[in-house]
Amino acid sequence: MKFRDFISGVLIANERFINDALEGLTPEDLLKRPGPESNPIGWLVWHFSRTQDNHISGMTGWPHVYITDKWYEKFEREGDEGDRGRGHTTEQVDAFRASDVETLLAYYGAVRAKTDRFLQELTLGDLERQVPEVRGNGIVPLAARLTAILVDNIQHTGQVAYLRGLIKGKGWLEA
Amino acid sequence: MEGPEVVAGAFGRLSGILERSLEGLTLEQLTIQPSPDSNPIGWLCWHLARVQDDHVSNLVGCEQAWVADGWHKKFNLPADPTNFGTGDSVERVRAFRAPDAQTLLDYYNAVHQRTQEYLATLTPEEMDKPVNDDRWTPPPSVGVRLISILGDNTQHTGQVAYLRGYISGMGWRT
Repeated sequence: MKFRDFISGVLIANERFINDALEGLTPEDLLKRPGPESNPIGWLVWHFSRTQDNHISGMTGWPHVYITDKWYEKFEREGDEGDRGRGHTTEQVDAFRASDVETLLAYYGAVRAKTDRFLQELTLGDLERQVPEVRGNGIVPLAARLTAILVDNIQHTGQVAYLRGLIKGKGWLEA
Repeated sequence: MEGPEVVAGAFGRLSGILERSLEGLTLEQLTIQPSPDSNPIGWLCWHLARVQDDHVSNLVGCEQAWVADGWHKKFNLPADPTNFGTGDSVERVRAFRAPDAQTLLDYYNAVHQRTQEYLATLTPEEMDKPVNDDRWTPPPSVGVRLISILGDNTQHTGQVAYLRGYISGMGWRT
């Protein structure tokens, strides 16, 4: 298996969990927080989509689709590349509003299309290319940054799935 | 850099996250459930390590660390290789007791070490071969199986980190 097929395979497998975990959730469900400082599903999906959008731009120099396709308007936010959720206070998380599941999935779909374009052009040599580390701590091979993004996205997907279980009770995954 | 190295790099990120998430947790905190059906940190860590141990040992064709290295004794559980938490009822999840946070981390790291040794010998061609698993017809390839294990383990690691935030509040990672 080539590196590209593995990375694509991880993203495709993860997408199934995102779709299953979000299916049929109401706007109220998207705002539920199990603890006062725990992130709700709506914020989490927006955040991991923004993270992927940002990091693909960081490795390619391409613009954020969030800005060029004006997704920020659908989330009633400013068109700010730096607005990705990292470092948000609990008040900022509380103030975040995702209108509905469809909008979240549509923005994530637009980001994924951009990621696919990036993966199609990626060569073995590119993986060794030196790029800034995911949080700006020094320089790492592009492969390390890419796996950091994958791991970040899948962890947040696991959190969304966990919250789905908290809202719907055990058995939703098999249902 | 080909498939196996990318897989190894992704698995390599999980133990640090688990170590930070488990650090200083009490036995009681390992069993906290935000709702009656929700899995606690102790069970989640045990389960994800068991899944990696079971699935990777199956790929290698060797006995699980759980049995071969006696890890089951440290968890006061029988040497049953089929007990890895998948399909556990709510009652079983609640009844599960981890000896302590350090043992959970040590077991995970022992399993992860074996996984890295396996990945170091794996070739991109071997990733395309079918796995030796008669539960699926046709069986998935080794690469697809590794995608499943990585996805499962990474999702659960994210859940452990989320629960740590639920217990300790925002800012526990900084």
